[in-house]
Order: sequence, then structure tokens, then C-alpha cells
Amino acid sequence: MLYWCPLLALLGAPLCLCQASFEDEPDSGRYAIEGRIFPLSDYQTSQANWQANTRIHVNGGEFIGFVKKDGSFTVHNVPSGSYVLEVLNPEYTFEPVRVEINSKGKYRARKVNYIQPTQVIQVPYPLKMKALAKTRYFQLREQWRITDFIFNPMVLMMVLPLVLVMLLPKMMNDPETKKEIDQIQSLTNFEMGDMTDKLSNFLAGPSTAQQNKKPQKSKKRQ
Amino acid sequence: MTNLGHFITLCATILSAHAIYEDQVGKFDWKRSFIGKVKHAQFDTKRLIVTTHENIIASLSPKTGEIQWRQLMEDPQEHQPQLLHLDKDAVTVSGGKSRFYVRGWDAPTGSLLWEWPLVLDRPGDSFWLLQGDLLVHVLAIKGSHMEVTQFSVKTGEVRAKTRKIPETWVSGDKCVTANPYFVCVFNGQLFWLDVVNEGGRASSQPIQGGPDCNLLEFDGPKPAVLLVRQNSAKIVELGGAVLPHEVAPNAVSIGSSVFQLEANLDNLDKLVRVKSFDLVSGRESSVEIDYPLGLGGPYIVSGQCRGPACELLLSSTDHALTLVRLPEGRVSWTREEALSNIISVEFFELPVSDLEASIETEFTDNDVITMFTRRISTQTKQLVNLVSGQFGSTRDDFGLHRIIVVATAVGKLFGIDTLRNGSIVWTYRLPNVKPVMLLVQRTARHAPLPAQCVLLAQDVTTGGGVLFAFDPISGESRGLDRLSYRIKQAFVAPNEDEEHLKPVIVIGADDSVRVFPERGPKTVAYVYTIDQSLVQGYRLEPDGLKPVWNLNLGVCDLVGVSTRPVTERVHSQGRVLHDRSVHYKYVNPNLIALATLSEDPVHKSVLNVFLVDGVTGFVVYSTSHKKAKGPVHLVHSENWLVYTFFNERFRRTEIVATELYEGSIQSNSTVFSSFAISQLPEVKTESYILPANPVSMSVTLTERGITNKFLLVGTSSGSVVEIPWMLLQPRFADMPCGPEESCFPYMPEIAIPPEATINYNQTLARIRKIAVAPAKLESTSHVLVHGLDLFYTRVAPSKTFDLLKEDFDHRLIVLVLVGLVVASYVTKYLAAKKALRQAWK
Amino acid sequence: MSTKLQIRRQKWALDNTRNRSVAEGLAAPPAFSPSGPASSSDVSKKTDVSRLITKKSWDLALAPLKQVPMNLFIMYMAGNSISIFPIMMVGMLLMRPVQAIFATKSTFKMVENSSAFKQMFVYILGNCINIGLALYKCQSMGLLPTHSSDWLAFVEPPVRLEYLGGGVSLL
Repeated sequence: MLYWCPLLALLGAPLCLCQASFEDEPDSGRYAIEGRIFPLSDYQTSQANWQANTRIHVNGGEFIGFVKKDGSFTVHNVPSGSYVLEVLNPEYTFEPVRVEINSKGKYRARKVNYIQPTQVIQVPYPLKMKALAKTRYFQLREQWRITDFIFNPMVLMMVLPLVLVMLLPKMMNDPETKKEIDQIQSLTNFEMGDMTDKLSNFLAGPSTAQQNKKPQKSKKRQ
Repeated sequence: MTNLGHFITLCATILSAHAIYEDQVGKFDWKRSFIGKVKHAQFDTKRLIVTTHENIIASLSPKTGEIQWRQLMEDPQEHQPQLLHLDKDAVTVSGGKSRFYVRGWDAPTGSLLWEWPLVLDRPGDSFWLLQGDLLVHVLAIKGSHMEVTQFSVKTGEVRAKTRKIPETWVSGDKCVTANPYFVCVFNGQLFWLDVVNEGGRASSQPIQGGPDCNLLEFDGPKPAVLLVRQNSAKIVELGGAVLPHEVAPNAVSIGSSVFQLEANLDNLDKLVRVKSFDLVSGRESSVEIDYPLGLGGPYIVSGQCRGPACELLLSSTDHALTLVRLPEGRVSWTREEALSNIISVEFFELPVSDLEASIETEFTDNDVITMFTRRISTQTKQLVNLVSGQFGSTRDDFGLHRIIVVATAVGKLFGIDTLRNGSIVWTYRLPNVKPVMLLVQRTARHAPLPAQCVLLAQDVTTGGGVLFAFDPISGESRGLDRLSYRIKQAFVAPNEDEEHLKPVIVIGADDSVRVFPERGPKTVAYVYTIDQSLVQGYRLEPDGLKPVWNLNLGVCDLVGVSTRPVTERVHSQGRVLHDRSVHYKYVNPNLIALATLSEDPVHKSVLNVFLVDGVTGFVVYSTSHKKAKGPVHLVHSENWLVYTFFNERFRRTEIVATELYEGSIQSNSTVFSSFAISQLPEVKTESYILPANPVSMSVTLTERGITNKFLLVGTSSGSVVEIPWMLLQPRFADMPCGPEESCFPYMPEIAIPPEATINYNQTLARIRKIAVAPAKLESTSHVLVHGLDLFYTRVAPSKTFDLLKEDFDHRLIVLVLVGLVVASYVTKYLAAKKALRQAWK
Repeated sequence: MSTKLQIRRQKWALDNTRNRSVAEGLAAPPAFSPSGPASSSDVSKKTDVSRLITKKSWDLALAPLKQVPMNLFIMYMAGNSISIFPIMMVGMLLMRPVQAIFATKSTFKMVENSSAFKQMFVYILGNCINIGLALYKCQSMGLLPTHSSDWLAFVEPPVRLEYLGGGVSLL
């Protein structure tokens, strides 16, 4: 703040010489907010009259400013108080700045923080508004790529069994592996068979006496 | 925590990105820009620079009328363009009362070259003169003196000190400038003074006609003014004679010729005639112009001539701007500037096509052969339509093609097509009428009966009520009713007659009740009126109006009123909590949300918000915010209320969401009555910071109300952003909140990503309102943002879950299916072959 | 190892005995010693056809119960989140027992002992247990409409009794 005061006087003095009689009169208490816009270099070259598409809004359009050819702007007739200054441009985003003008006409510019309004992070005044980035209004369309397709879990789920189905019969053709598999299968089968055998034997056992007549019947039928 | 509902709406609750794709730009949205009623206009070789009553300077293409560039200056309520001068650069002086801005604009690009402000320390009538590099400001103080100051136009440097010229003839309202003079009419005499060159003395000249004559500027070859008396005018050359020509008050001089418009009663096809005469040679000529029907009475704003070819810029009483080429008398283009100030908007579905309507009559015949032939013929017609691709103005499957009917402040009605870049389908001009609102009597759903809409308006001269019934699809009149009395209140009754026509009930200032159409069914309804801070409720009975309740809000400004949209449907009657129980909503269709601002000695100003039952007058909920400032925007929908205000203590805009619940038991699930309230509804509320300056707020509407709600907020920066209601919905304090509950944890500041801007980079100037209507497709609603610009788009808050994606690859799926079928046949064949070979082994 | 294999082979021999019983009239093949198999009364008892049928039918009847541990494991693996595979699994868990119950008759027809009521009862019971498990799974996944919120979508909006209009200021 202290540093900026003399500098402001130096900068503001030649510019405001003419307005001084109207604007800086104590009874009117009207001040001018000044600054300069620094667009991204590609925008400057791609659109020659970017100045015409850029506007300055103070407190949501309560006071407005226009941008001159060199990128400078002045918002006139602002009484003392606290203001949020925004740079409006359809293509680029700028960070808003809070400008405070006290009753003596001293300026202070700081970052806008709505959540903690008392927090002060000063920024230089006269304002230097730099474009943050090109505003991204649009969603990006998903590009169709083969890797995305292949690594899709659904596809993997479908492809893996397919591979197994295709490859296993080939492996089966090999006699040795076939034997091995057979053995493994018989092993597991046997164990399972043994268990179930026991259980069903146990369940079937008590009924054998009862079923003495039944076999004859079935025999007859056969 | 998962539940069945979650499972069903799994796809609908994804709330991430809603932005459109870049290739969708202009596919279903369009923007039309306007400039308002033209005040000054100046021709250049390549452009036409105008300033308008909207405090705008714009450059138009003289060939097409398109806007080349446009700059919006200060608020037109307080600032008006005072002067436009086009030399190499365009110079404007704009302002009002005691604050002015002098600006120089680069004519080809519209960027600012220089500007300086002027603050006057005393109020008065200001007049401006520009000569070369010298800007002269004349401040006329009525009956006492005038102050003349000369500035350098580019820097604002004072060239000559303010001269105080004590002249009693300075009357203020009957003064004009005529370069380099300042001219006034006073006491039957014409006074003028050279204000550019110092040392000039005031001159005077007697005029005939008495005190009721007026002065108009006239930009002739010599300094002159138009002296207007009733409907005729005379050109008075200052220091010269009164020219003998009797001219119309709208006469304009271009070069040495004077142009004026006249009604052409001889030729009914060409109703307007341009008459011109040369001041030097006295040669007269007259050209009939094919002035478009439906436009209001024209007057000439400006013109330019190159030899015999002239271009005249006409403005009309309905603010239309027309460029006429002479001597052919051909209209080059017309701009409907009335659309820059829209009062009311309604969306209308198109009627079904004749083919579809013929299905109604298809099975009336008993004769099999005629039925058969009819069927065949309609199907061939359908085939022909399909092949030729002509659909015309008929309803589409999803109700996306609509006619937007707008009523503008000048009393002109427009029918605008939502497709075809917002082309105007029809216009209807009602002279001397101030529209209030549009009322829908019958939609196009009742084929073969056509839709019907009523414009409720006020007569400009008498203030009496005007009811204008019309067909919203074709714009044909169905009758104009000029009432002899003022209208106190009017609304559409809910019950329709046998022709599906909902009657409009009009209550006069004397509490008389009339029903339009007369035979309409009598209804019992409740009405409320708002008169400053007094809100009154009445019961409308067949025999008259009976007051039921009144609510006096005290000394305050009523800053916002909101009711639920009549057509809104609430699909879900409750909110599902994390333990899968239901918290039933308090959905009262009769609630009126009111917001007032009142002065307070301690807290500066206090914002009070009320929710009043419009039937009983019962205040369901009220709250107040200290140190709050406008602008206040209210939106009431379903069981909730959202409002924004400016918090002066923290100097930020805050948005508050309030929700009403009945509790875990629904008191009556079949009928809702305002009288049957047993306990106050449970109120949940939460507030947030909105990092934007809202200028308008609205909420999306869908056909059945299943789709999530979006809040549409128009901001001062010219963007319209969508904020999901889910972000604002008050959380239950003692319940978990996370993605599993489809709930967003509380964030104090609402993030507004650029993707949420529905108008992307199409900045909209001075947004006034956002009109919303449901499409037939549940996921989609129509949005029309109006202000100075008109922007139409469609929004789908839960994405278009009921529609295949736009980029859905039909070819790919067909290819895959065909491939699979072919592959299965091929493998079948191969397998058979292999089996055969193995059998032979 | 080898003994086990033998027992297994004997199991296969069961079918042979049955076949042989059909073709009893045929002469014995050469080098056939009728005393050989008959020497062990144990075997003859075991190869009793009716007993084998009963055993087979019990096998069938117990099959659904044997699936229970496997189903529990699948349920555990599927988790409680709702996505396509768990839903498919739960669907299978639910559909299979139901189909099996409807196909009980045809299943037991193969056993040629139509009057195996006990086995049928056990079979249906086992399937019912499986259905119960599947329902429990649905419940824990939140797929059963047991809460008021599940019926919320079907609640019709109440009909309004009073109609309110107005609010336009025209005076």
C-alpha cells in the first residue's frame, strides 16, 4: 500500500490532469479505477479487435469500463467504497479483483475471497489483469480408441472365456496332457464321489430293510 | 447404502458434467441480438452507426441490417445517448441528469478510443454541440441563465472557461441546437445564440402561432429548426426566412433535399410514400415504398444520398427499423427491435399434421373398401412425406419443435419458431396497448380444435383492460375486447368447458367478475392481489368476490413475488433418507413467496421472506436477513424456495435454499387442501455463497417432474448458468451425506464452472427474464432467455436419458450385428465341415 | 491309489450288472467263472439295484443342499454393490432353485422310482433354502421393496381442492 501510493500519483497524474477538476473534487468524491489488461498472446494475434469484445464490470455492471487499443481501461465516477472488478470476455477467463477506495481516495486492490472476506492478499494497483486461461465451455467428445475397447472389463470378460474355450480343446488333443487332466479329474471326482457316496449311503442305509420288497418289484418290471 | 430407487435412477443421478459438445453449437440453440429503439443514426460508406434508447452504440451493415458491433453503455434507466457524431470516429455523449460520458469509438471495430466523464455540480437541461474538435455543452437553467462550456472532444480539456449567460428565454423544454446555435422558443418569439463562437449576441425573431408550438432539430444545409404546430411543421432558417414549405414533423434533410413520409391512400399495396423536395432547386418528387404490412407508423431517422440513389432509415412506432432504398422504394431489410423488450412468453406445441389428424376419422366408416383405400392413400402420403423430407409446421415426436409466442412492451405479438434459428412465423400489432401477460386458454393437444391464447393488456390512453384472443400457431385474431374499466386481476380458471377452453376470469377494479368466454363454467377459486405492501386474498364465488384475508407487510418495498408454475408436476412426494425411509414433502400449490426490504436503524436494511398460503392467508414460513441488499430474486418450485440477495456485511451475494417437509407421515395422500393444515411444516434451510451477480433466476420444468431440477441463473456478466438443485438442497443435519446417498456434502461456495454456462460464449446483454417450458420429452425443457438479446436452447438436467445420444453410432451397431450374424453362419458351416471330416477319419 | 481306482471301477461295473440282468438268458462267455463274483456276499448286497436307485435318488435330493456352501461363497464374492455381474449372479441364484422346483417331477422321473416322496421333499427343501439365500442376498443388496421409499414413485400427487389465481398488478 505504502509503496504504491507515490507510484500511483506518478502514474495517475498525467492521465487524470484533465479530469482532476471534476473527479477528484472532495464534494463529489468520485474516483476512477484504472488498470490494464494483458490477454494471452495467441488471443491478441488471433483476434485483432479483442478490445471491443472485452468489458469491465464493477459490482456486476453498476459501473462499467471499456478497453482501449493498448489494453488499458478506466472506470470513472466511482465513489469511495469496496468494489469487485471483473473483466468480461467471451473467450478468456480473468480473475476478479476487489478494489477498495477509502474516503481519502487511497486505493487498495486485493484478491477476491468470498469465504473469508477479511483475508487480504494484495495485488498491485493500477490493476494488471492477466488472462488465466481460455474458457472451456464445452465438454470433450470421447475419442474411440482400440485400447479403450480392449481393456474394457466387459470385453475382457467376454474374450477370456472365448480364449479358454478355443485353446482348451487344442490342449486336450495332446495325449499326455489329456492323461494328466484325466487323472486330475478322476482325483477330484473320486473325492467328491466318496463324500457324496458316504452321505447318500448313510441316508439310504436305514431304508434298505424297508426297501426289501421294492427291488423285487423293480425286477419284475424289468 | 443402496436401495431400489437408487438402482432405478442410477443413470439419472449422475451430476457431473452437463456441458454441450463443441460440435453441438447452434444445433438446437440460437441467439438473436437487438439494439432497441433507435435514437440517432449516422451513415458511413460501409456502416450505419446508431445509438438507441437502450443506451447502446452499434454499427449495422447497410446491406443486411446485421449488427457488426455493439457496445452497451450505462444503464438506460438513468443514462441516455445525447449526441452521436460520426466523422472518422464515432463520438457519443451519453448520460443523464448530472453525469455524462464522452466517448470516441473506432468505427470499423467498435473499440474505445478515448473517453472522459463529466460530472455537473447542479442539475439542469443539457444540450450538446460538436463542431470539429470542439464539444460545446450548454446547461440551461430554466428561466434564469445558461452555462456554456467548451471542451476538447478527445481529452475533455476545457477550451474556454464556462460562460454564464443570463438569458431569460432559456426555457429548457422548448430548446434545440442547430449548429452552431442554441435555439429556444419563448413568448411567441424564436431566440438563438451562437454558442460555438464567443462573443455572439442573442438574436430573436417573432413567429406566428402562439405558445403551443414546439421546436425540433433540423439538420439542413443552413442552420435551421423545425417549428411544429399540431401536425404540420415549417422550416425556419436562423437569421433567414421561414421557408414556405409545409412539411411533416418527421421531415429530414439529406444534403439539400428534404424527405418526409406520407400515408399513401391511393395504393393499398404500398401504404407509405416518400415525398422529397430540393431546397435549392425546389424540385419535388414522390416515391411509393413497399412498406411491409404489420409494421407500425414509420418516421425517418436518418438517410444518405449518393446522387439520385438514397437510403432512408425508418423507425416505426413498434420500434422496427427499416432501410428503404430510393428511388426504387424497395425495403432492404427490417429489424424487429420490439423484441428487445419482451413482457411475457409462452411456448406452444404445434398441432398434429393433417395426416395424423385424419386417423381420428379413419374408423368412422363401416365400408371396408373405403377404409382400405383411405389407409393406402394415407400411407402413400406418409411415404411421400418421408421421402421428400417435408414436415412443415407440425408436431414432432418429442415436442421439441414449438412456437414461442412473445408479447413485447410496444404491444406487438410475435410467433417465433424454436427451430430454424428463431425465425419469426407471424406478427400481430396492437396499437396503443401495453401488454401485461399471456394466458393460455387451450393448447394444441385438443385436435382438431386449434390452440387459443389470450393477451391481457392495458389501453395506453384510457388504462382500461384489453383482452385479445388469438391463435398462437397462426397468429390469427379471435377477437379483441376493449373493456371500459380497469382490470384488477385476471387469471385462467382451471376447469375447461366442453370445447377444452379454459375460461379467463377478469375482475374489474370495481370487483365485478366477468368470464371470457361468457358461457364458460362458473368456478369457485381464490384470488390474491398485491398492492404495494398490502396483499389481499379473495374467494371468488358465482355471485361475486368475497374478501378472505389480508396481509399488511408494513413499511417496506416488495422486491420479489414468486408462485409455483401452474403446469408444474411434482413426481416424487417425498425425499428418501439414507435409512430408506421417506420424508414427505409439503407440496402446497397455493403458496406465494414474498420478499420485502425494509429500512432498519441498526441493520441498515433487512430482507424479509414470507411464504403465505394464498387461500387462507396463513403465513407458513417467514425469515429475515439483516444487512441485506437487493437485488432479490425468488424462485419457488415443488416444496422449496430459493432466493438470492446481497449480504452487505460480507459484501457477497448469498443464495438461500429453504425446503418444507410434512415429516415421516403424509397427512393426506389423496387430496390437498390449504384449510387442512394441522401443524406447521418442518423447514430445512441452508445458505451458500454465489460467486456471481444474478439478474434473473428460474427453474427448469419437465413434463412429469421426474427429472432433476436445475436452477437457471442469469448473471450480470451475460451468462446463464445452470446450478443443480441437488447442490443447494438442504442436507439433513444428523444424516450421512455422500455419493452413496446421492447427496453432495455441503460446500459454502457454489462453484460455477464454465461448462455450466448454457449459452457458452454467446454473451447475452441485459438479461431480463428466463422463460422455461417442458418438452414432451421428459428429460428436456425449453429455455428462452430474453433481455436485449434473445437466446433459445434446450436443457436436459439429467442428461437426455430418454433419448439415444446424439453421437450414437447407428452404423457401428448395424455393422456389428451384421458381422455377428455372418460370423455365426460361417462358424456353423465350418463346424459342420469339421465334424464331417472327423467322421470320415 | 490303486484300491481307490478299483472301487471306482466297481462303481462303473454297477451299470454292467444292470445290463446283464436284462440279458440274463444269454450263455456265459468263455472263461467265465460264476463262482468268482458270487464268493463275496458283501458285493452282492451292495449291487442290489433298488438300493442303488435309492442312493441315486438321494444323490439327486441332496444336490441342492450341496450347492448351499458354494452359493454362500458366490454371494460373498458378489458383494453388495449393484452392477451387472452381481445382479446376474443374484438372478442366477434366484432363478435356478425356482426352475428346479418346477422341474422336480421330471428330475425324479429319471430315477424310475416315482414314489420317492422323501427325496422329493428334501430336494424341494434344499431348493427353498437356496431361494431363501438368494432373497437374503437381494435384501442385503437393497433390491427388495420392503421400505416405504420403494413405493414412493407410485404415490400419486394429491388432487388440489382449492385453486389460486391472480397476483398480477394491473391497477
